Amino acid sequence: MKYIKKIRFNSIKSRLIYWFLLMGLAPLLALMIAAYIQRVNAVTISSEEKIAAIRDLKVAKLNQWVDENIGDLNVMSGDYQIRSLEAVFNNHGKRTIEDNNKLKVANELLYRNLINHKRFSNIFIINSNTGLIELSTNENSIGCDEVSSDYYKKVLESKNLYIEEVHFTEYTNKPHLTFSNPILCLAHSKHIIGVFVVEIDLDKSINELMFNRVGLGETGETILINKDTVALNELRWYKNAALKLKIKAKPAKRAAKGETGVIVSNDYRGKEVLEAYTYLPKLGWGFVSKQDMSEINAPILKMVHQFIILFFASAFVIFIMAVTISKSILKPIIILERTAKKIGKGDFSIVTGVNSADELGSLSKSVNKMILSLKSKELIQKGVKDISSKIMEQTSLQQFSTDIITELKAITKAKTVVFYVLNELSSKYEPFVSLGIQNELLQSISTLEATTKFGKNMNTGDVFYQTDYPENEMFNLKKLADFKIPKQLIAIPVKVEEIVVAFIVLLNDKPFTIESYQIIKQSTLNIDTSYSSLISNLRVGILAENILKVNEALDDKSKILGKKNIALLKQTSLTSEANKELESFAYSVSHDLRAPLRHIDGFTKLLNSKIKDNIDEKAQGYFDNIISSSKQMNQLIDDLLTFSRMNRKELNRKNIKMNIVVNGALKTFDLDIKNNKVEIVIDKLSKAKIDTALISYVWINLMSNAIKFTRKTKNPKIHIGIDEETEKQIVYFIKDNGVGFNQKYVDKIFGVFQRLHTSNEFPGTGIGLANVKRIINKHNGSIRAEGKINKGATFFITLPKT
Amino acid sequence: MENLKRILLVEDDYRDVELTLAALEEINLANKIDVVNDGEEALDYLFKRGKYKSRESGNPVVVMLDLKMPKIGGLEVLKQLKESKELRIIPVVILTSSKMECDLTTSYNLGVNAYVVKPVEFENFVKVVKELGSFWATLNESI
Repeated sequence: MKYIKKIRFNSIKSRLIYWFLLMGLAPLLALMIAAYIQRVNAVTISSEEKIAAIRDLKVAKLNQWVDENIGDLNVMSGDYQIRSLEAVFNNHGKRTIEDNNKLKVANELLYRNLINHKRFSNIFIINSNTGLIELSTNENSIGCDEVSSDYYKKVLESKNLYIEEVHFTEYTNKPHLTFSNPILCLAHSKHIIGVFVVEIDLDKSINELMFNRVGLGETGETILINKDTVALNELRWYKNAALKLKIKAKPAKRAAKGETGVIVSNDYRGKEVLEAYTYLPKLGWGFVSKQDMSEINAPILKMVHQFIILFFASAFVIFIMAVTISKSILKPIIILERTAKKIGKGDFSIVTGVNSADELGSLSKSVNKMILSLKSKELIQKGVKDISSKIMEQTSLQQFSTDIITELKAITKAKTVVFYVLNELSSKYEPFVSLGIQNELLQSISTLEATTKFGKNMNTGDVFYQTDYPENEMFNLKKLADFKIPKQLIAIPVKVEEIVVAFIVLLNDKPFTIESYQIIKQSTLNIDTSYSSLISNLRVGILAENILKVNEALDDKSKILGKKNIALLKQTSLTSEANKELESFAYSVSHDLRAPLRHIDGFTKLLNSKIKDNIDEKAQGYFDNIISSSKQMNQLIDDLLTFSRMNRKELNRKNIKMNIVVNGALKTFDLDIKNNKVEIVIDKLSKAKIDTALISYVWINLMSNAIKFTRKTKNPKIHIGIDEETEKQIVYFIKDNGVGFNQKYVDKIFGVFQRLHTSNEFPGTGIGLANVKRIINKHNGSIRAEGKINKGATFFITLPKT
Repeated sequence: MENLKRILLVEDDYRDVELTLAALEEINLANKIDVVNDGEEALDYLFKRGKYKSRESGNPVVVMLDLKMPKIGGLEVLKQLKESKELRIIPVVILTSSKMECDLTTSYNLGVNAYVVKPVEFENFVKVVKELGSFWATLNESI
């Protein structure tokens, strides 16, 4: 497994082919190897058996042949006429006619034998008295002295049969085998009268037997060797080998030594052969039967060839199968892979060609879904971008609204697009620009009332999409006989500071796509922002124009004023410095004043409680005066602190409903209102952009005054409401029915430490209203008061809307 | 460290001390108060050194701390107290006449447990001191 893991595939296809081949070919290979081993074993065993059998057969035949020869020789040499030659032999040199007749008869016998036995090339008889050849089928040899010949000597010595080594005869130059046997005396069978010799031509005997190579195939042969391992017969692969070729092969040596066996070794040619060897004891020869291994193994080789062909044929078939199968499996995967790459490059075309019902088919469907959703996302992004780039940095409302409805019409394929704008009085939405409808058909929409579905939806401030919009609800379209009103509607409110200042209506007969709706939804913030900045730019432009005109007029005046200004400037800087010093002085003083005041208050009360029972009413009055004084002083310090802090503090303005602030302030006086049974009336108050904490102080102060100054009135009443509201500002009022004041002194009530009443009548610090005025001024607003003695007072606060 | 079962009042103005004690008297805590008159004394007391070297060991259950004092101010005392491993667990209440925002935020950044502006009216002052005293007394049980 370690090695398998090491292989890295670059594609699923090559991996599949690899595994197919491995799974298919591995068992085949194993089978082949097993078959090969079995076959080799079988062939080895059978060929060994065969070669040994051939050896044994041949050896048996050879032995039989030798026995035949011995038998023939015994018969011939034991013949009566031969044995009766004793007397003849003894009469050497002086032979009688009878002797010659006997010799003649014997000679005929020899010739007869020679003819009868074709393997005999020569038969002769040696006289043991003389050692000369007496009779011979080769007449030339008669009279030759054979005393030193082995076949003569050995027979005399052993008095028994002697087989001489194969040798060449002088006259035939052919290898011969010589059998010699003693001729025994008729009277005394132990007396030898001569030696009977037979020369056997091997060509006509043994070689015939040896040349019969049945069962040894095309390369096999049998070899006879003498004790010196010289070949005795003619060989298949070596001409005239007999008695000339000394065989050095291992089996030959072993056979010569008298051993028997079967081995594989190299023969005299040096070729690998299977050899069976043995020893022929009667002749003293070795015998080898052999066959080339190449021939023996030929069928195995053939089988191996077949195996190789089979192997490669199987491999080819498996490969083709693997390629086909992997192709069918991989085709969809490859298609999906290509699709994924395409998506990466931004091409969102749908996957095609994978229609199978399996997992791949469902994967392809999922990928298609994904592509569609990506497509739609891209479409939405592009739409949002297009819209935002169209409406950014527009400087005229006409251009802005035309561009945006053109773009929206193109993106959503709407039939009709209308841009409505809130008029200056905020009373109506008027059609400003439109596409796909005649302007005459359009009417302004008076309000976005909650009674109509359209108004209700519009009031939420969100984009809404209404299918099948009811005709009677259709925002005011003049009906023409032939104008079919589209029933699919998308309305886009344009908000500035939470107020719907304009809206766009898209109409179509066909449903809008989800993408269109999404583009619009995601663009609303952009539209709002752009519109808002456009409006403020326009305002700035108008302001700038006005200012320019005024400036021109002022320019002249300023020249005159310029001189005066320089003098004033000096004074102003002095004043503002003094003011600053005063402020910081007031701040630190009021802080430091608190501690002694606390001590005065604390110890007075401690002292009072200690001696309370021992003092008279008058003394107690003094205590009360000290205590109320310190209380007043504390209030004074508080107001001073607020006063001094006012100039330093930055406003933290927020859009908030004034009712919330007023109600919060009112809570401070819950107890007073209850005690004095004051009737409080608060109208609905518009929103304003204010610093809540400071305006809260304003209301508390004004309410405190109102409550204070109605203390002596029957049925006291305080009314808070709106006096006037324009596009730019709101005027709030607070009215009471208290003691009021003389309008003559109205300038004094907002000054520091200015009071219109004695503190006996109505206690107060005289700083409260000064603070109120400063706060309102800081808001770029204004405050004024109206009053009549005993008829109550009304304070008017004017605050800008933005 | 063991609890000393005492309240430490750090106040330089003897009149404020008296008023505070008068308030605490009403809930029978006046005899549980140790008074020091400036920041230096307060630190000596807390770290057991100088004049207070041989005082009974243990931490006060709460420290009522004025801000504006001679020598060492209340904020410095608070800082050193909260930097000390042994003392940082002592609850500290700032009791001051300063309504300044910077004093308030600095105190909370240094880890103060409560910030109380001394009310000018005696009734309110008594109410606040009583509330503080009994709150910590209850919290630390049986002073």
